[in-house]
Amino acid sequence: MKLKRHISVIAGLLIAQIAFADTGDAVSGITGFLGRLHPMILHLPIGAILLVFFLDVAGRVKKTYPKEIVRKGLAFSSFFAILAAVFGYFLSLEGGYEEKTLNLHLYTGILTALLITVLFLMSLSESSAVKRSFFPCFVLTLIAITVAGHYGSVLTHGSDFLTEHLQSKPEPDKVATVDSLHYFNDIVYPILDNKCISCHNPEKKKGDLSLKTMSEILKGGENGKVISAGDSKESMLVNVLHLPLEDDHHMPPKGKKQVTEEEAYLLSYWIDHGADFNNKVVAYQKNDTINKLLEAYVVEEEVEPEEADLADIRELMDNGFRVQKIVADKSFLSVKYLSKKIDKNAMRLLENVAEQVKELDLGGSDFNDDLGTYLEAFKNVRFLKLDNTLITDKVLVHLEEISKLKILNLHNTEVSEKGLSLLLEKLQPEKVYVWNTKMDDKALAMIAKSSNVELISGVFEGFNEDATLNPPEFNSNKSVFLDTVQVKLSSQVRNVQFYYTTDGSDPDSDSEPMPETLLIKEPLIFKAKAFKNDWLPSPVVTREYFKVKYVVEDFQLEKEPNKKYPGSGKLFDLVEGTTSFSDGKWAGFEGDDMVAEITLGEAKELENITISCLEDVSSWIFFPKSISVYTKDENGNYTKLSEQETSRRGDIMEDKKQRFTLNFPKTAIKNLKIVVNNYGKLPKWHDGAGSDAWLFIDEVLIW
Amino acid sequence: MSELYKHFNHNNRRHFIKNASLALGGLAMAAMTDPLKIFGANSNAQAMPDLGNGPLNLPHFAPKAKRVVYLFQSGGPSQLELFDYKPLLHKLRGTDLPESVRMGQRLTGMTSGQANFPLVGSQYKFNQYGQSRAWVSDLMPYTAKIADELCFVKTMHTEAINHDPAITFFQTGSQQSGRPSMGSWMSYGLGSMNDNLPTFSVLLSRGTGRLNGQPLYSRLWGNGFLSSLHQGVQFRAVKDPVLYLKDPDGMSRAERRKMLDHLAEMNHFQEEKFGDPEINSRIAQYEMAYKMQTSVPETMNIDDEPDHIFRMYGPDSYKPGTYAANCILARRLLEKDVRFVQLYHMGWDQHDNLPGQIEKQAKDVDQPTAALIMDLKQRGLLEDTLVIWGGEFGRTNYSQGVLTDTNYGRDHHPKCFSIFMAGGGVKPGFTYGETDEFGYNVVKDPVHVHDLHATILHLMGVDHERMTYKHQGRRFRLTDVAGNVINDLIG
Repeated sequence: MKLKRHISVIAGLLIAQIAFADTGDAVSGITGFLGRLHPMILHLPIGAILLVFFLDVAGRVKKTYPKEIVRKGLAFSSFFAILAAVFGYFLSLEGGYEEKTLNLHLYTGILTALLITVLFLMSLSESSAVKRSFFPCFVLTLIAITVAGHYGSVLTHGSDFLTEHLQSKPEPDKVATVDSLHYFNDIVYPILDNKCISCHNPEKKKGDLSLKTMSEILKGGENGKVISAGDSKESMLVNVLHLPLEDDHHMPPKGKKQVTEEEAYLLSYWIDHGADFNNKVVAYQKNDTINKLLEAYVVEEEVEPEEADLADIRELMDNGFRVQKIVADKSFLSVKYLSKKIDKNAMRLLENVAEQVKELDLGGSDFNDDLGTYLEAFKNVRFLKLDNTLITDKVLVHLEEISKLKILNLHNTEVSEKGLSLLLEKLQPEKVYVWNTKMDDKALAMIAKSSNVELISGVFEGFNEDATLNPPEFNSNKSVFLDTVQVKLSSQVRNVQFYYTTDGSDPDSDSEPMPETLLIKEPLIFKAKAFKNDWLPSPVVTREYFKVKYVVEDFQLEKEPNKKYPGSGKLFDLVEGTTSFSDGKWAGFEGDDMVAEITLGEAKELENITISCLEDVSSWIFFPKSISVYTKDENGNYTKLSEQETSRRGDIMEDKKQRFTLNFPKTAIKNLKIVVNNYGKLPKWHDGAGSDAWLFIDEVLIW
Repeated sequence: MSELYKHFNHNNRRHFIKNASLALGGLAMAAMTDPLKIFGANSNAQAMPDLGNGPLNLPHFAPKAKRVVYLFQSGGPSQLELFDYKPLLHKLRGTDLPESVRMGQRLTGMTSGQANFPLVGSQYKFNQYGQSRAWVSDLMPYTAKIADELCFVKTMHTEAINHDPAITFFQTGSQQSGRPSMGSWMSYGLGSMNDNLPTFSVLLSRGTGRLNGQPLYSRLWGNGFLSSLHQGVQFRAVKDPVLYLKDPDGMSRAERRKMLDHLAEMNHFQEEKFGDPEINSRIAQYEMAYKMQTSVPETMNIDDEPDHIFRMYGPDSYKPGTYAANCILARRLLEKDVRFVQLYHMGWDQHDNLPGQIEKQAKDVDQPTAALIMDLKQRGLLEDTLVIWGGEFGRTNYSQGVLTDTNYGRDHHPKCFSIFMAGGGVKPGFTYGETDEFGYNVVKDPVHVHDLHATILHLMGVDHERMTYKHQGRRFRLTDVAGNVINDLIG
């Protein structure tokens, strides 16, 4: 019958296990796989037996007993119970479980399977004695299955899984400073507890390792010791954290909550410093990193005071204080005095909320030594700003009892090293701001040596050493003139002295000092430089002053410049443009040449023509290709006076202005023609290759 | 509908108390709803004092930063020339960007038509600085000096590839315009710490590297759907730093006061009649403007700064309107507890001619930025002031246009770029995130713009999911429906 069949299947499995088993206690592939099915299979008989029990009871009450269903149900349950027991046995071969609990689970499990099978056999019997004992037997089976199930859960989830939320949790110890932390209990153990112990505990010893107690940690697991005191690099506990996630030995296994970098650092630090189980943090040499990390473990005992009285707050606000809550639903206050003059009355008002004030800012006021005594009441202040006040060392005495003070700002006061070092004997703030006090670098270094406090002072070093003056600025752009021109220099930097030359040499502090206004009558090259104490002198500015002989008034262009730019009037107005093509001083020609016919009226003696051009390659503006000058006689015939080709060096890109000057033997000229040839099509290397280049000219000068 | 309801409510409450038939009931109601009781104090008839918690009852938790100065580098500074050191690009110089790296990334119209994408490394040398061994290029010598104060994020990434949407995204959390700027959100949520200056102050400067670079527009510091009280106020580097603040010639301050009082009276009358809350905003703004008539010149006049401070910020700082001068102004505003100071420095858009331009851009900002951070530090302000330096996106690892021996350009790149922060509760001397060897993709610890916003708000004591404003039937946030606080950045 069925019974025979399912016993034979199970027997077959057992034989297979024995047949395929490797030597020793290693688990062969198929049994290992079947073992892992245990957690799934085991629920089938439990569900089935409960359903059958329900049908059994219901059948008795309703007087229609579903005999056949009960039998089949028990058969089903029995089959899977035995299967679960066998698979469970396979799973136990993997090891890593606490033996005592494992055995309890094994035996109760087998017992349960047996009991269910017995029940099944009883349900087949028609004997009345059997029928009478069927129900009590059923109850017994349910008890057995509950016990077996419980031990199973202890194996997988740990012994306190069930009752965890019933037990009152011990409150974490309130630890006020990093130094009083217990390194193992407060730092190492919580990490292990969170990330490791769920698999490495006395009940479920994966890899035969438990990390629950000191002795177990020191004992190690199947792969040997996990800690090598003093050397985290040799410690498996740390190494497995850093293996690639894909590595089988990486811990915690993929999919589980991972140990963070900070936690790994804390563990390594502990091992590197001897893996001691008793020391407090104070015993360790600490660097900044570890201090920062440990801070997170400090549970500050913060008793929130009662809410401040609103009337008090209102009164403070009316008397020049700004009062704000630090966090909306907490009573702590941040208070700042907004006016300059402060007196005893103001401080007395402030005392009313002394308990609530966590941040106090009296900076910039007249706060002075006489008012210092009022500060004693502010026991909860963490952040105290007394900068830019009239205080001296005398005030610091009143701060000695403010044990929670973390940050103290004293910059720009008369406080000295004497007062501060006395205070630091009593208090351990994190930071003190001391820039612009009576303390010099030497004094600060001395204090820093004897205290852990971070002293923050001025930081000009490295910023001022190579402070270079800006080049002098010309008050006007005018460098082309007909008769004379005035030159004025200025600098944004105060009290700067300028020196200049006109002979082309670089100026220095022994050159001619620049007067307020310099009058230039002749063409020359003007160079100037700015000087000031404590500054490196400015770069040289150079400007070529250009004297023209004539101002052109009558001219005609073959083609007008592009409408986007101011037009032809700008070509002869003696006002030069900057390197910005859109400054309104340039005439721009898109693809066109500039051809100008100039009528001078009476014949003028000339020997130079200068064209001032712009190049801004990224804006498609190129210097001209060539420039030529012609005279025109009465008959309208042109004679070439001079010609110049310009050349480009490859793809250099720079915004720059350049003057192109053509000279020729002195000639008396009445009519003149100037041709400035556009660069043409943009070159191959240019973004706009093949398009028309622009020609930009701000001045055409004749002299 | 909600606007309509608000209107009804405004009227009802007033009529309820004012129209005397129910005066007694009104009093009873006032007693019942006395807000002072919620505060746990003895009830009295006065109003609840403003304790700086704003309409949302913020902060949610203790803030590490109370003020923010955002040094926005507009145009997209090249991370590859400044902070993200990629030696591989030198090795592969001129070779094409492999498709396996680009992975179909959308390009701007400026390089999408390019036949090839020649990789190019930085022309500037990189070194490691400080105890933190942070990588900084030779372009930023002062920044390098203070590397141990800085928290670098190498793995910022954004969704936009062009300036306007990218800046708008950074400013408002949305690529489309119309939402409130970050500073407006702070002003709305956290309120003011100085009644005499705008909570959200804006300073602009043009970079010398690219004078005709991308312009900026005032909606970037706009209040969006929040009350116009929260709008950013631009301070300009001219005789009238804030527009329309000056009294007309011949008008005395007393006269102005009288005029404003009358105007306020009329506005109150109007407000009672129509219940439009924007009228209240307007009254408040007139008052603010009146106070700013004295507080602004006082703040903007930097003549009282000693010479060594100017030297610290560099010689440009004497020149109004430069980034350096704006940095000094920013410090002065922060000293006066302005909540959010936003600087913009334009000209970081190096499509071509990059080497020439970026040297000037870097020189514009390097010393002033470092000086600002250290100046805040020596005054104790860095303790609770968050400094952020960064642009709207990065630049490509390949050259835009033809790569030559001395010249190249870079297009916009959204997939990774670098920013740095300092003070205000971020980890000093820390570098977060890793990009691939090509400097193209993030390989570890990406930080999205929304994540940065969430982190900034977190530092300000605000849970970014709970700072909302209901508008058009929906609760809006700076972080929209995304953003994670990057806890690793918080020190």
